Amino acid sequence: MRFMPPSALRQQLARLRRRGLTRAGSARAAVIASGLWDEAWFVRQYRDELAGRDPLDWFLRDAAARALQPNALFDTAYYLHAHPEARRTNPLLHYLRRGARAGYRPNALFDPDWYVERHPDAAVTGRDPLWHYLTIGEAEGRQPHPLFDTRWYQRQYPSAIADGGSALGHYLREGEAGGFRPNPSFDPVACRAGMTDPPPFGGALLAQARMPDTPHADDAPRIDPHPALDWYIEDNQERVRSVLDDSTPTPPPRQPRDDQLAVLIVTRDRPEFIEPLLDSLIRARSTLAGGGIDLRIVVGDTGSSDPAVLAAYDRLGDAIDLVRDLEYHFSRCNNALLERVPEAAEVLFLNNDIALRDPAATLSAMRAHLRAHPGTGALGAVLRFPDGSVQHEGIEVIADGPLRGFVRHARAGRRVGLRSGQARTFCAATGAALMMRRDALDATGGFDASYRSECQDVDLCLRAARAGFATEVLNAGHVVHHENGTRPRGDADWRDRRQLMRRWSRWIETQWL
Amino acid sequence: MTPRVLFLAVRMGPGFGVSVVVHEVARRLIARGIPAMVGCVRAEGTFADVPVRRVRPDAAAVQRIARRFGATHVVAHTSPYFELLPELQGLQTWVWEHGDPDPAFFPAPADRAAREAQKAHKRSAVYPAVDGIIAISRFIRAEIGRPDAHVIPNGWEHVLADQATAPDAPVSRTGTSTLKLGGLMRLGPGEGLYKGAEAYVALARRMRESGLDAELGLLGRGRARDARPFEAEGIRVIRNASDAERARFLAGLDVFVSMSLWEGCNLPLLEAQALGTPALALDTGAHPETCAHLCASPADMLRLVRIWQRDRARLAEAGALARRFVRGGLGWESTAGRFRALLTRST
Repeated sequence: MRFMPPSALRQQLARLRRRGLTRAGSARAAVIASGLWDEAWFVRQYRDELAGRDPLDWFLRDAAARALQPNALFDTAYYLHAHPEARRTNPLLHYLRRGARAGYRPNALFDPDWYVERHPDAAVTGRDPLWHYLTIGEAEGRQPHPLFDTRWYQRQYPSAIADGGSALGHYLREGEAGGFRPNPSFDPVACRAGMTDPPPFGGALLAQARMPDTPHADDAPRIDPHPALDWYIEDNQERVRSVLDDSTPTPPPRQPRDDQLAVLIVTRDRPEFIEPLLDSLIRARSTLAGGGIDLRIVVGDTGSSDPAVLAAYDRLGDAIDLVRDLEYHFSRCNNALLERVPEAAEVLFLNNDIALRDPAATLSAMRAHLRAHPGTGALGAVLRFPDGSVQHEGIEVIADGPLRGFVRHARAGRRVGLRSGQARTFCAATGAALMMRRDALDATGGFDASYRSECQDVDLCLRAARAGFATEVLNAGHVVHHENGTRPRGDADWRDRRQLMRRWSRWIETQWL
Repeated sequence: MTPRVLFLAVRMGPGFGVSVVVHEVARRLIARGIPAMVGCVRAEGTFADVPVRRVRPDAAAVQRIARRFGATHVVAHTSPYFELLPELQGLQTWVWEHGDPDPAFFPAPADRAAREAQKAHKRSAVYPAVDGIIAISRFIRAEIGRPDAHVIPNGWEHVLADQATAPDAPVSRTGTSTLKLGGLMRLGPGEGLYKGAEAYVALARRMRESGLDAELGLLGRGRARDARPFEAEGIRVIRNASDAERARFLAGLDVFVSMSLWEGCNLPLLEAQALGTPALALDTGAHPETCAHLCASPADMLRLVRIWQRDRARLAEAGALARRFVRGGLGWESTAGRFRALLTRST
């Protein structure tokens, strides 16, 4: 074999590069295989500049120099702005070979990780999430970004995206600059007021709305909510109906039985979770009885049809207090179960996807902690993912940035911070495993049913705090939460989050920030 | 060039929140060297440091007084002056929007239709034609559909005008006597629905039925017969009180209660909290911006009252928090300062 000297190799490569033949075949194949090359769109977009050239060849060669886009949503200008190193090659190839793996965004607003978290089926195809949104997601009205409401945009500006055009593509290319709103509450015109330089790429204003230092210049210098948490878009008549509905029960005064501890579980199907949980609690009963604790297990079923679950209910018989045929609504169901245990001195709200390694020890420790700390009204447990990392170790207030005043899970995904038996005060704890004293429950009236699917546990803890009861989180043993075992991951309810901010931001701000 | 501001409001006098806003802002502008004057249809009482003139609500009359005063800016706070702004020539025109209660709260069809028409007219003919819009809360900014409006919140310091009756120091609330609750609203059927008159009466009934050791009072303008539905439920009504009596009433309460279903700000709520009186309001209108103890429902409100009735230390803490909330972030100095900054930018 004859080796070519390095200088000759470099010359040959340079010649090939000039002729556009370096790895041309593999580049073409990669771009086509990605599904992100939309030749029809490309030709429509650059018709006047094509000048008889092969569209894909031209794109492969000049994309970086002329910021050519391969489709409506791969924003080459943005990509090069964010990752200048991609100038050395074709930006789309850079994205396919390195960027996608590194979590780079193909445009200012499309976050592939967020998209997959929100729409888990996008990962099943094995293709890039952008491909999923381009070919499936947008047609189904899915959100590509927390603040871009595809359906709303499609309905609001039908003529702008006529002929099957992309709503997000329109917003990126001309919508934001033209004052089109990505959702009812975000106004690009107001956002641009006072800016001297034009935004460097489409979607920059909305993307910046996530940054901490973009307050509306003339607004009140208080909590400046993240646009997704801007409660001002909620209809006042809807709020009036909600406050006057007043369906949250006001329980009559009752004398609790000092020895009674009630565990309340709302569940449906998923035998792999509920069966072992109920069995473990029932096994713990005798141990707890030895410690003077009368454990009542109340199960609210919201329509199980799985034969294994139905058989388990038959098998367990009187060992549990089973309430069938509830209509699922976290607050209402738990409030309904709560009414069945008016004498319980402590109540533990427990998700059905919780696994307690030693239920007797965990329950005893939580109850003992509450009794030793009368100022604590709500006690959460440290919850772990199956891999041992923290799923929940308290909920804390966000002190800075556009989410200031909102709440987040502390230490999520990290190693457990609290030692065994150690507790710490938080603003709230998850309702997935939350024990409450009777007097704190009476002071709050239970869960607020106006929350549809989330934040009701935080609201409950905040109402307890307002009534003078602290919330703590205790490391009470090994407790696993198969989070999203019963609810799709990323199924966020921004209306509930807005309601939480609306109801509590001023109190939180004055009390804690 | 120093701006000269002509404010316009239909009525200047006691018991009108807009009148307080105009007076407090105008006097602070004057104190900062910006000449200001108020034009109104009707004036009662005195307005220290601020010239107040009657101005017929037509464009020619406004233009005349603006010229005589040398105004550079005309800032309307209410109708019918809003509607005149587009006709004014050679002046910066601004809307300072306090909001209009949702017409749905007014059951008489003609009344409702008139209110809807007025709102629609402002949206189509006034807001687009003026140089700037100010909203007193984010809620109002959203209600008027103008995200470009500048939010300038109201202040509270006017309650300290009579130092003898409205002490600046925190009020001690450590007694064990009957808890005194009270609210402010105009009496009579006109605004009763949106002011939550019915809910207020219902609250009194629930308090009584639950055996709570508390009394409920109400201060407002109205006729004797307007007070009767409240009195029938055991609510102590004080009608047509002076500003000093009003401040004394607020300071004497253990808890201020508002059952209002729509508010652009709810000035009395700010006043009560500024005086250290814990205030409870429902999650409606702009209350989330102006109330530290927001309630999800009347039952939520009652639970909190019950706790405070039992635990006066907790009540005192709530009062301190309410006071901190208002005094820490709001104030007429800030209101006037923000407006002044807008004036400077627009001159």
